[in-house]
Amino acid sequence: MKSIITRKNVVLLGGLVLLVILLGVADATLNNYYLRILQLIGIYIVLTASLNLTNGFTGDFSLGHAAFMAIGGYTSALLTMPLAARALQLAELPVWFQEFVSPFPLATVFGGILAAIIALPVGLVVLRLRGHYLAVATLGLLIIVKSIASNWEPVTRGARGLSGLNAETNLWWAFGWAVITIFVVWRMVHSPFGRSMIAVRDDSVAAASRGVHVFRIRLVAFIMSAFFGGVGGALLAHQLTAITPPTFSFDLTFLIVIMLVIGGSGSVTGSVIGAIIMTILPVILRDLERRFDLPGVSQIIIAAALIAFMIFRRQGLMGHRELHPSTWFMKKPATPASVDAPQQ
Amino acid sequence: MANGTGVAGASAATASEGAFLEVAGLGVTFGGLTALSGFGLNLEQGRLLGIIGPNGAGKTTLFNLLTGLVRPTTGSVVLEGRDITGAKPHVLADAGVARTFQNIRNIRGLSVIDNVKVALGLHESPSLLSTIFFTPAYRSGQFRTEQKARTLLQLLNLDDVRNLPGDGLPYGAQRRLEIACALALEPKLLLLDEPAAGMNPTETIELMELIKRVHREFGLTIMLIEHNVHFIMNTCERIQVLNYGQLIADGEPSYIRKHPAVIEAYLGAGAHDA
Repeated sequence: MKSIITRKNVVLLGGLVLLVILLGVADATLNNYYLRILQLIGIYIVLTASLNLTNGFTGDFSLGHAAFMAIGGYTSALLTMPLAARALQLAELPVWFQEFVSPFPLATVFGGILAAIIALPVGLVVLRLRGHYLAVATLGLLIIVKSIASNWEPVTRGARGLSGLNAETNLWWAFGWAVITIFVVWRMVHSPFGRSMIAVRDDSVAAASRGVHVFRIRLVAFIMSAFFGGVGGALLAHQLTAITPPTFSFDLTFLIVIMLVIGGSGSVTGSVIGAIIMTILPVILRDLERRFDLPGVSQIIIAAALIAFMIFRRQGLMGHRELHPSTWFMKKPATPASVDAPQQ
Repeated sequence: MANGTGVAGASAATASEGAFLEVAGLGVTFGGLTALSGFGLNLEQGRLLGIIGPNGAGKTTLFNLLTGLVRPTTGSVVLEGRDITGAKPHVLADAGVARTFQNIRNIRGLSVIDNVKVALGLHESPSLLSTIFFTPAYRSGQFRTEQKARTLLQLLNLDDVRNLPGDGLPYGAQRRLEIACALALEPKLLLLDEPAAGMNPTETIELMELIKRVHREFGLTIMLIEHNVHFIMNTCERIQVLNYGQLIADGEPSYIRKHPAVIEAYLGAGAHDA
């Protein structure tokens, strides 16, 4: 058994310390505008890395991530809402609930758990489908969730939404959850579980014949993905401090999918890179747009860039490869691309 | 063994007690097309059975039925007294049925050794929590898996290429990888679907030796589909012949070689009179 103090772990720990220092410096020096962008990066890392479990590694193309975000967002908002706001907004709910305020971390976890619980029956139904059919079915889930949020007046306040939340999401929570998500996803992917996921993605018939319980693997990936989707929704809700049904839009679901595709579905580090790029790029472009007084151009540029990207680098920036810190200081690992098999 | 032109129907259900594999009246129809009908087989443990027949005779369909990829419309399959008719593929893998595919199906996105580890996961699958928290039990489990995988790869002469992608090997090596994955399931019954297809004569001879060796060393019961008649006559102790979804002959190689229905299926009517 290897010691826990390996070169890899030292590098990872160093990276973690560096991240903490950088976040500390950012927290102390940056103004609110930039802090919010950084928080968004953390939140989108949570969302993209978790969507990667289904879309990237198991090959189940889901468009329902915003639905799980909505479940997590509304659940956590209901749990943390300050008493004053509660009395105004949730007067129709039972008295015990109006007096129960949960701390933010707990509410975040609850949001994730409820999203995961709902993912179970949903997964049992929609995972009978694959490919385009599954994508459309998960989009249907988003429509259902939004329509419940729009009409369940006593709980969600319909179109008015829930507001007056404390701005609990800070850099530490956003990146803390980002690190947890990356860690969990990385551990899952680099385990017997992840091997089965990739086998299911590449050839589910062969996987089944090799003893993989295909449906269970897909279901667990879907549920784990939903958990972090719910957590991401909770983080977003407590950054915005107010949520309405349109917060969890088709645009949002597609944005996360785009982040994943840009970074490279099937790569954990790729999903992180995709989340960072697709958060920062629109901000920079919007800034330029304002400076040169060309409203709307940033959208066109991003769309054109996406098309070009899909033509020239369909596999995303990372493809199926990983950017692994521990390999930066070592010899280059043999890339699987060189296939001059030494035949015996 | 040879039970004549055994068109074994439902009567095979009354087979000798304790037979290893008992198949009776097995059949499947796709729409109006009967791919296989009334297939019967009683196989003792440790046998090496060959299955031959012209293209479209239903050989691969038979394997698909036995491994759960296709559900039978009629009939039953009993393995070691356990009814496994129409069970799911992973259940059958667990029950001890492993197979290889005619068109090689290794996992593209996984290395050679990880392909084997997927199959080894059948017997060593840690919980999600122990995976995430990297518990000692998890690590020792993965250590065992690594050792087992290396042993299998060495046996099949694949250890040197273990870090290459699953589909990045020469043809013969990919066949061996499929067999390694099948063996990783620790099966009782191994189904090989045209393992020598697309191989050159040298590779075919090596494979023939390998199959015999695996049969011997693992004490496996093997069913083998093959078009290469020389290969099958030299490897198998018993041969079944399928034609148009029907079992037309069943017996030892010398018996099959002279069987009129077999000659007719391969060479056309009247050929045996000439």
